[in-house]
Amino acid sequence: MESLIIGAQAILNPLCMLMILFGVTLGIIFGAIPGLSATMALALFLPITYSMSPVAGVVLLVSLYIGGISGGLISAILTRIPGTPSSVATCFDGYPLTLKGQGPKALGVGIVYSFIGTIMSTVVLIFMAPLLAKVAINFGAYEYFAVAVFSLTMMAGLSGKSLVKGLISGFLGCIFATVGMDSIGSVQRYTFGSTQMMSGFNILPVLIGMFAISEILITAEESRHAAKMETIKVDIKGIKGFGFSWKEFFEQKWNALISGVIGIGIGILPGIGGGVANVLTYGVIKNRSKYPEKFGTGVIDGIVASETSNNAAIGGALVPLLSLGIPGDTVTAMLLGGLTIQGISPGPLMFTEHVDIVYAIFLTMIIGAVAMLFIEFYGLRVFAALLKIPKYYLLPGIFLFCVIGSFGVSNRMFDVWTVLLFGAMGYVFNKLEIPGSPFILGFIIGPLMEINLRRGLMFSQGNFMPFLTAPIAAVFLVAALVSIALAARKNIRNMRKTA
Amino acid sequence: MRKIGIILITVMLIASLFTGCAASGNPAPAASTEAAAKWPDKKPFQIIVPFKTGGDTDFHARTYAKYLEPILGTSVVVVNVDGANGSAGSIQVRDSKADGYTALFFHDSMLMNKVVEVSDFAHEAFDVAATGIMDNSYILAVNAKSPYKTLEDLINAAKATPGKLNYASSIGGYTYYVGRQLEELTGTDFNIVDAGGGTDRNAALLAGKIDTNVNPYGIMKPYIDSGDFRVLAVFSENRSDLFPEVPTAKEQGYNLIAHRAYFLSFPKGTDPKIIDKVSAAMEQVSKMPEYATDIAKAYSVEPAYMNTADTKAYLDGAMKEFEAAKDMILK
Repeated sequence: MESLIIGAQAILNPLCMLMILFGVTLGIIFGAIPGLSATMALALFLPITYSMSPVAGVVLLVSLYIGGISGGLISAILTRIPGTPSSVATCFDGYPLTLKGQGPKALGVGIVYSFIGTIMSTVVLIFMAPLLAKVAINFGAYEYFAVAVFSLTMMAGLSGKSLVKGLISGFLGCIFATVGMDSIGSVQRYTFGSTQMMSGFNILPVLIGMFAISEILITAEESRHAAKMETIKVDIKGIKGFGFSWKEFFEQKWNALISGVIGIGIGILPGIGGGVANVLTYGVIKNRSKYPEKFGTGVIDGIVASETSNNAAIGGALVPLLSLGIPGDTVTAMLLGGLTIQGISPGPLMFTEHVDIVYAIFLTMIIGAVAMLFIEFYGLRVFAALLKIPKYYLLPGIFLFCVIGSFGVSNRMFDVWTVLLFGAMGYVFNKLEIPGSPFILGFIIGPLMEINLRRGLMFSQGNFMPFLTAPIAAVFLVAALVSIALAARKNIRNMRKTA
Repeated sequence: MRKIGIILITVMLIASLFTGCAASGNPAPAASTEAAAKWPDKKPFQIIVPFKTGGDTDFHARTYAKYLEPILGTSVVVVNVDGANGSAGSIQVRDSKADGYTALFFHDSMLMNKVVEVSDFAHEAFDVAATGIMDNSYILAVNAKSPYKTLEDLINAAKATPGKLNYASSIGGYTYYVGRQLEELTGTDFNIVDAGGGTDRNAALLAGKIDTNVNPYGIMKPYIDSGDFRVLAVFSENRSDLFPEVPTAKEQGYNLIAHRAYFLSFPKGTDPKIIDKVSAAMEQVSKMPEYATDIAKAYSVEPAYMNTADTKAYLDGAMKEFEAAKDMILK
């Protein structure tokens, strides 16, 4: 309680409050524009925080982070183009709802569950961070390998109608992720002697290409056949509050809880991040649902899964960052850099030596979440009105941002070619009805599996047994087997049904 | 018909990808002396950092940029071009116009990249300006719960159980080289494993998954302060003023020195007048007390400037040393 007061003293001033408002608003804008992401917002503002006070700097960065992760839902729901990698799964059910004319409801659900996800993970962060950090350090190479194997089994849940096509997509993801220098011995793979290819394909342009550029290409193609481009009608007038009932809210309680827990868990384990959290959680929620066949046609369960988990991953990612000094993804790596430059090194003494900073972060997350709720609630009508812009103006604009955003990842033209290549690939996938989300899972998890397999073998000097005998690893490998067995059983049943 | 179109687009995109990669700027003829005399002429001076925002290289570049601005009288812009362990940014600067407005801020890894064949050039492809900071703070630490109190304890334990003690490093990286040197020097055999980057290795040492870790002091500082890690030695000529209680390896009878120079370099053919101007400005920064406070607070390092000639000599020497140890590094 005393610590809370110290934190409150640090941030309850007009400057910090303005900083939160500014950060969250700007974060939402960065999140909402496909091509620009939370990562980019932080990269842009990190150097600016160097000259601020430590508290003001960290308040701004955390606000950008919260806004940026949530903002992605807006474009995901309204245009089927995810604003950030964290909102890929939000498109699956969000856009069908928009097509049914229930766009504001979908937005309302997304906003409320972003808020709930943030608050859930903040509570966990405040009360359990040091404890969870102790558990997290016991995850070594063997354990991460097992987690990766388990995560890959989720491909089945994301495959849609055809398991085979889902697996093709997933394994292509794994294969494309191998391009570049391997992460252990710097051996060059598929670089064709090009130095640009050596760093491989960056995840951000790959995702933007697969989900944004391809969508633009498809719409452009359809417009040739449709006599007149229809603008989607969105009725805002009849909408009260967030557009959904208390009954619907209570129906989602278990979905939200499970999504939140998965999001936090994925956030805590370094190297996975919100980009996987939303896709993976969507798969899990769909699997446990009583009506999985309705997923993808516009059920709010899908939005709840995606949006709760991606915001929950924020609090999760801050657990190892604050208590161990380990950044889990690019965003937390930048937060770490921001703190280091201020002379604050997150680690075991963080909770005793820098109580003000720690509690400033906690309070920023809570206040930021509330700010996000209000800004997006009042913005809801504005966002929906964006759809009135004809697509032939809107989509080229988005295309431009995608290209600029890709260039901004590391200031290289190569990433622009990457976004176009994967845009073309996403288009081909769409034509062949191959789902894109297993690809992402493969692209992110594949390298994680490889590096931890190889690290583990270095530790054990070539012995495979520790992968099976390390208790945590064994649990995840068994879970992976169960997951595969369940997916196989389901698939066989479906085949019998249709046969 | 439509399928053919798709294939065509894909092929075109792939083709454009390669032409994009092959495109390389021709080094422009040296700027006229008149322009060089006026430099920077209020035009923005761009420093490329070949890594992401938030790391040590980025920090050192930005700290320099902050203090260089008022001295040079122009804005100093830090741009991060990451990829291929620093090679992507290096190539971009190497192929930039040699007009003095683009420079690269990199460190010894540029040389190591050539030795491990990640890139085919090193500092000889640039006009080196000066070393902004020399990091002499490489330390060897163990978990405080381990029985090792001195470097000798650790070496004796390694000798007693060859191939059993885990030494963490990234293969082909600088700390890998230090580890191999330690093995050669002491006649021991560690199990050299990859346990990720600096912060991941802290967690691994804390959890007892690795037995020893070599990294700059600043990275392990939180755990040293908390009493979780015990520092056995610093690999420098003399003890550091920032952590004087840590003995050097040399004092303990093991002549092992490790360091990393963060230096600024320009594209080949840059006017020497510009290089002199920048080097002099950097020297001025390195003597500023507020600069020393900044770097001590963030990374526990002390200012150490080297002029153009010394930096060149240092890099040539380091390159020779790495080349000679090539077999050891590529083992």
